[in-house]
Amino acid sequence: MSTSPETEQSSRFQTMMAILIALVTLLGAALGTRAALISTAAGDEDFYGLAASLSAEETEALNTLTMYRNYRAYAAYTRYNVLGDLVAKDWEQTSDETQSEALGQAMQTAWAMAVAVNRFFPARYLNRDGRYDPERELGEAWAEAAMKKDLDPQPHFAAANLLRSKVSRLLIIIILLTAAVWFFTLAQGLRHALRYVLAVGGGGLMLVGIAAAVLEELVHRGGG
Amino acid sequence: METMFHGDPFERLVVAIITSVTVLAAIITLLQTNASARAGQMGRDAQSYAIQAMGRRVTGQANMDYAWHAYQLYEELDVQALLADRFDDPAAAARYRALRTRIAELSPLLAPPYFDTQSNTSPNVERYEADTYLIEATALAERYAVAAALNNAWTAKANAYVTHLALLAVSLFLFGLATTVAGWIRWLFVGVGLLITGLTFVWILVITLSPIRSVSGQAIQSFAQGVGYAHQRALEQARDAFTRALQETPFYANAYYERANVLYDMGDYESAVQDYLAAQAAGRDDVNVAWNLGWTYYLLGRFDESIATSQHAVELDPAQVGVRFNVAIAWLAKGDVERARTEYAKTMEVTAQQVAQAVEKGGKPPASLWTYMDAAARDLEGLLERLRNAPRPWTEAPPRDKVVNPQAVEAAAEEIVRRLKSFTTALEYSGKPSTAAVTASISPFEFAIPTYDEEGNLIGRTIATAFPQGTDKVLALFDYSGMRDGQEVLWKLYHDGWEDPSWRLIEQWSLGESGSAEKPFSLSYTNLYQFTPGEFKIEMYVDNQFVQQGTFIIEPTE
Repeated sequence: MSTSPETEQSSRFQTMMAILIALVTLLGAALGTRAALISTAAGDEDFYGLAASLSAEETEALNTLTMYRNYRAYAAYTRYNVLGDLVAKDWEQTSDETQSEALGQAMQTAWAMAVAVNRFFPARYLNRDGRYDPERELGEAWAEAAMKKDLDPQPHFAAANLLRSKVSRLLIIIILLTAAVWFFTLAQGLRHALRYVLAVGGGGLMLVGIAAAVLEELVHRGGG
Repeated sequence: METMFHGDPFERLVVAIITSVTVLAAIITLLQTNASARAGQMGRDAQSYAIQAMGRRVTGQANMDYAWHAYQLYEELDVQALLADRFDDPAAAARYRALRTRIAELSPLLAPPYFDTQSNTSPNVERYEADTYLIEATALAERYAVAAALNNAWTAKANAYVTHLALLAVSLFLFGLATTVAGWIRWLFVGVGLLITGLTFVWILVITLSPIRSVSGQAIQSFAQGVGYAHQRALEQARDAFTRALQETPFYANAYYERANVLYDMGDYESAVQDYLAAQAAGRDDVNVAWNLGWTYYLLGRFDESIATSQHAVELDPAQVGVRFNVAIAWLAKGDVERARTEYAKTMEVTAQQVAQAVEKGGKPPASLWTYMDAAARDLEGLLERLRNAPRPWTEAPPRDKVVNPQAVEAAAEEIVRRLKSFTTALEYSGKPSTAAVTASISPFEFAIPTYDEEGNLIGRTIATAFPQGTDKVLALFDYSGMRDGQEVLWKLYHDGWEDPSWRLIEQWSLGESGSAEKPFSLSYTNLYQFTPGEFKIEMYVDNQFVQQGTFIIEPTE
């Protein structure tokens, strides 16, 4: 059975459109899968960021509580130590024997108490002038904690935001490809010469979509 | 048509429609994904802000805790220096003062602008808290609230888009079905499908174009500053800060609420009512707003509105006894004494149940319960003071001319407040209301100070209602009958309307059935402290039953 050249040409065109529709649909499905994976990765980054937030606040709170506990002990130490020093000055100047004895006892008691509370705070945070440096203690404690756990949520949140933007861009590409399918479908059903215009339109959208997808993967790497 | 299309033109048309709806569905998918992503981002931000706000409060409180400890040390040294002076030991006094100065260096709380070492005043703790963490923590908490609200709004949008996709799926199904049948029914399927698609499209437009409102960052900052000022009782600055927040974001419900609280504290009840109403209109219809609004209506003498609003607060949180008492007192001031009695009785029953339940579970009732019970008694006393034209600086009550049937209200208020005090005390000490009748009769208290001769010997007592500053011992004198040895007697002392729990004293009665007695209230065990100027009220309870009260004044030195 033979067919006219026009019918054969039309048939070839329809077949071509069907193949293009299938190809674009497959590409769209692949991009959809990719978008879903990237979306999952964005959720993971959010999770890591929140975990880092929690760690950071926990570390900050615990370090601060420890620092003030130490600082409180230092305050007690200062109370006794400075009192001992002040009594010592008076003791050196007194000539009254009774008073000297009382002052000497008070001085020794104060210094003994200072020594007793001395071990309740880390002496390494004392400056050369004998004053406590709470900022240094907090800074060192933070640095030590940062070596053991993630304390910076911002990179994770930034990554999550970037991945979400990528998902949006992939969806825009999918819309372009869907529009290409729309053109191909109309072109496939038409006998009119307009079908070639529609086919070219669909092809153009398909090419733009493919180019955008390739660019997206090359320029904005990352994701699942 | 046949020359224009391959195959069945109807099928071709349906295919074109299906493809078009698919494009629309793809666009909605994009919108849904974006909305969902934003919701996720806001939810994440909300959680992050909540964590940070909690962290700031914890570290801020740790700082405050330490600063307060340093102040305590400072005070101890100050007292030691004073005592050394009194014991004529200037060298020791100088040592303590020098040490005190050294301790003051250990916390910023003990330095300007929070503390003046030359003055006798306490450090400005509220300002210190505001500066060190309160403003920051408040801003973070507000950001959390805003992000959570945005999360809800975007989630609602995303869910609406999911519904749109489901509707489009239904229409696509109908279009597909149309190609499998013949006759008019296929046109019906197409028609219904197009109708669903059209309606969905309109709905999509409405959802997409509906803006999502959000409180601006600047408004949050102004709000947080307002909270900081309010914390320091800098009311005008607080009001202005909240106004700035509202200028930035006119629908900021929390700013209306906080400004209303500040206006209330400033005594501008009318404006406070307007702001509470604005807070409700902006979406904050919670128990706190209704509670405060109901109470402010009461103070303005708008009793019907007060009852309705407080009743609404009760509906929002039926367990809140404080607001139930507000309903009761509004009925009382409205002149409906019987209804007020019923409301008070009902609320006391609810309270007794809460205490019984807590005890049954082996725990304690929430401490806030006692606060609300005491406040209810204080409110009744405030009403009595207003009706007797003897308001105190701390009195909160409606204008006298707004109270309906004042004589009947006064008599009822007096009786209810006694009952309430007995009820609260019995509940607090025995876990259940007292059922025993009051047998003791105590005469009204007279107050006196002991007088001594030049050598310090007691020579008599001076009875008065007011005593000079410097008084360190006051005697309450009374006659009694119907008492029984071994009965439990509780004494409470109030200074300027507020109980000072450090004075609470429980003792066993041992003075026999009747006679005269004097009860000393004394700070004379030290040579350093005296009564602070102000009004002191003494209350006496026998076996948890309120039996008598009296008031004396310590006058300030001019």
